[in-house]
Amino acid sequence: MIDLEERFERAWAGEPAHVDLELRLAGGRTRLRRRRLAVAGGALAAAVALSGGAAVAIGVVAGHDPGHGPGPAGSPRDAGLPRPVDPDEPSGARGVEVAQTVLDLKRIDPVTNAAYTDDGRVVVRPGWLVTQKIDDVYVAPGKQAAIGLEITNTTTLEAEWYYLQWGEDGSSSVNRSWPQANPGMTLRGWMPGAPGSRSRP
Amino acid sequence: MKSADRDAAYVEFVVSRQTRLRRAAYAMCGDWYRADDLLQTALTKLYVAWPRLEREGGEDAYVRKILLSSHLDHVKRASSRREVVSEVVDSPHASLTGAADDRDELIAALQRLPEMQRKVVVLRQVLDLSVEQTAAELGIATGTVKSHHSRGVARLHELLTETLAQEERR
Repeated sequence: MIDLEERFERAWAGEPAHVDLELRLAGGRTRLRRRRLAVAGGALAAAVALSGGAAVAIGVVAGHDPGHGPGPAGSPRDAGLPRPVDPDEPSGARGVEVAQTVLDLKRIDPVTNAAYTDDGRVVVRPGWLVTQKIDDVYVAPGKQAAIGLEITNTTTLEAEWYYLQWGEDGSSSVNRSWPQANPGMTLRGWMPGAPGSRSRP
Repeated sequence: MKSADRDAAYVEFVVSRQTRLRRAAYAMCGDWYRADDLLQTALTKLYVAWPRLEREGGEDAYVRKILLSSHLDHVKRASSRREVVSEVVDSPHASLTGAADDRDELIAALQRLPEMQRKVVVLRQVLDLSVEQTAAELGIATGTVKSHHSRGVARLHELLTETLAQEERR
């Protein structure tokens, strides 16, 4: 009879070291900060919606032609207000744009395919799809944001990994690798602080 | 709650639980790095919910639930993308320990169990939950837990015995 408990104990023998506790905390703090921003964004949108509604009501009372007032096209929804962000949204569904201006394209190093813009947006070169995105990553001192990305070329289906960092002064750093160069490893495992990382950005 | 107090309590919880939780994740997914991803996801969400959970209790159940649901989400996403591992060129885990072969047999056998059997075996064997706790965690009857557990363990014995017999024939 096989002793399952003993087999489990042997199975744990090769487990890698844990991520540094500071990184565990950093992940939590980043997520908490994003959630608070999302709540604040939602409250702002609601406040503007309310004040917009009040303005319409005042306009009607004052005898303005509603046809010239804020109609559907001028509604808060279409006014470019910040959309509340759901931090639980699946990776790759938000926060990264395909570069659409020459300025954004210039921010992407000619030999890479993803970058932070000066104002902290993340852009990828046209022809690439974000197939994985990790937000709660280590942010080095002096930087204000960082992100892990796996992007896939829509033609060749080749994937690349990026660990990008951004500072409010417009500085940024790019580290790139490829899944095939890190067999058996995940994107998170490749990024700084992961246990047993073989190639560090 | 002050930020420093919150962090201290959270860190204490993480230090005391992370090894067992990651082992459970590893038993569910069969990959240490994926297990670490799952654990980090669960602990990150735990940090956000920490003040409420510390006030109301249920930190352990919360983090276990996130761990299991994150694993399921990953399986669903992988399935929808039809991921196929064509060739394992070089497993970084194999070099980590001489016990890698044994570990792989057991963990590989676990991966062959139906999802619910695997969950029950992991919750009972790895996280040491009682039948009642497991039932509450998975939202199933205690009788169903017992049934899944006995079938799962029996199947594991079969699979490991088969592997052993194959090795002896070589």
